Amino acid sequence: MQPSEPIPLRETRRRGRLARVIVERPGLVLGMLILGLIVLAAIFAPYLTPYDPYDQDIMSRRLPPVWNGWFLGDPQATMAHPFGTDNVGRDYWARLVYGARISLIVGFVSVAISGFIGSVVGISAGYFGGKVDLAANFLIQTRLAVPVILVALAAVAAFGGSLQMIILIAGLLLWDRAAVVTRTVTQQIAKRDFIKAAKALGASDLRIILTEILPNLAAPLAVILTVEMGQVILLEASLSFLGLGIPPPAPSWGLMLAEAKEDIFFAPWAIAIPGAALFLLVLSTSLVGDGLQKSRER
Amino acid sequence: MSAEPMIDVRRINVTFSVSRGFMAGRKPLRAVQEVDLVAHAGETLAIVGESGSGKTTLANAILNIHPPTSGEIFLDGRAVRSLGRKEFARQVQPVFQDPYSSLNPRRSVGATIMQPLIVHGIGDHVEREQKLLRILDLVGLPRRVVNALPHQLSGGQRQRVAIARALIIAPKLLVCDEPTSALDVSVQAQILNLLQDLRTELGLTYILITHNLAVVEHIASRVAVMYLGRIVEEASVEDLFRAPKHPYTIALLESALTPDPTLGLPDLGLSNVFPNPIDPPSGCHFHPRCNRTFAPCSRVAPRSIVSDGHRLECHLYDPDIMSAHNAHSGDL
Repeated sequence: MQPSEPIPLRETRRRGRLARVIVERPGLVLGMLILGLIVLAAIFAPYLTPYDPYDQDIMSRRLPPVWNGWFLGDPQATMAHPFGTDNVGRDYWARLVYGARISLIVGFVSVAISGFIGSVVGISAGYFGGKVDLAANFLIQTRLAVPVILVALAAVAAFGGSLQMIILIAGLLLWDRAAVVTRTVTQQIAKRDFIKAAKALGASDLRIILTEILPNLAAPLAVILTVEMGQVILLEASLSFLGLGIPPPAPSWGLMLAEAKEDIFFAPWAIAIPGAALFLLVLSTSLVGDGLQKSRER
Repeated sequence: MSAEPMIDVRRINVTFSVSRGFMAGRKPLRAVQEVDLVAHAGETLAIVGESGSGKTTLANAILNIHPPTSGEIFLDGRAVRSLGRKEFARQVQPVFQDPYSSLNPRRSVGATIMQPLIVHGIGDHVEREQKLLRILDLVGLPRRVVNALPHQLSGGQRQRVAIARALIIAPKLLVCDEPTSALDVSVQAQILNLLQDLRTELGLTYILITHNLAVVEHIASRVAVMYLGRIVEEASVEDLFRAPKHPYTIALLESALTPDPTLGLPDLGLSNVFPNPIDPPSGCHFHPRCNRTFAPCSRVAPRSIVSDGHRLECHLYDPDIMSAHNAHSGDL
């Protein structure tokens, strides 16, 4: 670029950006769309269903979803319970949208905790190097040697299962990837001259980390944390399925799967619906993570 | 030139401990050895030498980024060790080689240039913006670039941003580490002229680290030649270019390419192997490559000889060594 050329300002670059992103990153857009819909459904759950997810109705148990009536002519299917009911007659759609709250809270809060721990470990290892790096590496190796499910099972057995417990377990255990990635990226950034310039300016280490390094870590961290969120959501569902996560009667998707498994041959939709929801949620976080990663590489 | 030097570097050493592989233990690498340097106010002191000679390590030591292992640096007569980091930073600022690496890619030009004011808590928002606009004019950047990110600028513009960032807290000494070698040839001259103009306008003192002798001749007033961590010759620019003394300096000056391609590459009379700095040659570090080496060179390290402000470390110019050597060879 010649110095005489006009410099494009940031405002002018924003035009037509959304349209370009949709064409260039369909995965990212699709992922954000699904994730956004699930988040909205979780937030506005009370407006999306007249039922309480805990209300049992013994008269209408194991009702099939409404599309069984359309395609299979099942006479029990009714618009009153569009996704059917479970084995104690609770509305499945209500349980599904309220259950999204549990999955998302577990996902977001655990990832916030693990992202914080991972960044602190990774950034200090990458920035200070030497003995700090050795100590951080020891921590990461130790963490990698710990089998997550077993520790989670032991912790739930010892302290009892609850939403807070699951969040804490996932947050305190799944920070390794964030630590590894932030460590590597910090090492690369710390070598560059703008860090040297900040040091020559007399800036403190904390200021350099917060204002010079952290902004450059935002993109890789976003990638890691979205991918990690899918893992955490699956972990919660797995633990709940095993009966060691969220205690019943909460509408956790993992619990819904567990409660439906005895009826798998008589009410297969009861397994398929929460399974599909879980699949969509994890798929959307993966798509978003993957899309962010690709945008970063360009 | 005042009697009191602005920066006075006294016998500094920078030693790194280098691992030589698994179970092999660590060995010291003396990147900077016994360096004495002074720069007076208003002067441009150039430090030249080939890659690996310790120029950048010396610059980092002077900038207090990697303080010397031993020895002392004085700024206006005060020991740098006793100054606070910020107090020192206000008076000495760096300009780095690669403007693609020296600017934070996530920070706009305006924020980058104002950052020193924020770190040092100078002025309020309005004053900072006034200073920003003034400094943009001073380094020749258009005002519209304040919102641009570094990747939207050319190399020359980025280097101007780096210079503006260094100058906004009004330092007295600028340490420029190869300020033009990452730039296009056409832009190099612009940046050098800018540095020249700023020096006269702001009364700055420069320490200029470079391997480009043309640059040295163009803007420096004194030159120090570095070889393997030692300053082997130091003199005024006129002196050094007219009558270089040290064989290394002579070879260095001869190695500068002429614009005439038919002349081919100059023959330096130097062997091409740069010695391993972990295992430097005995005696004079330069003797394995020197074309005028003689008996004492491999045994005794040369001492520093000063005459008429021309300082060098070479046995050829040491009257004691030469007379002893001549007497000895006469005996044979």
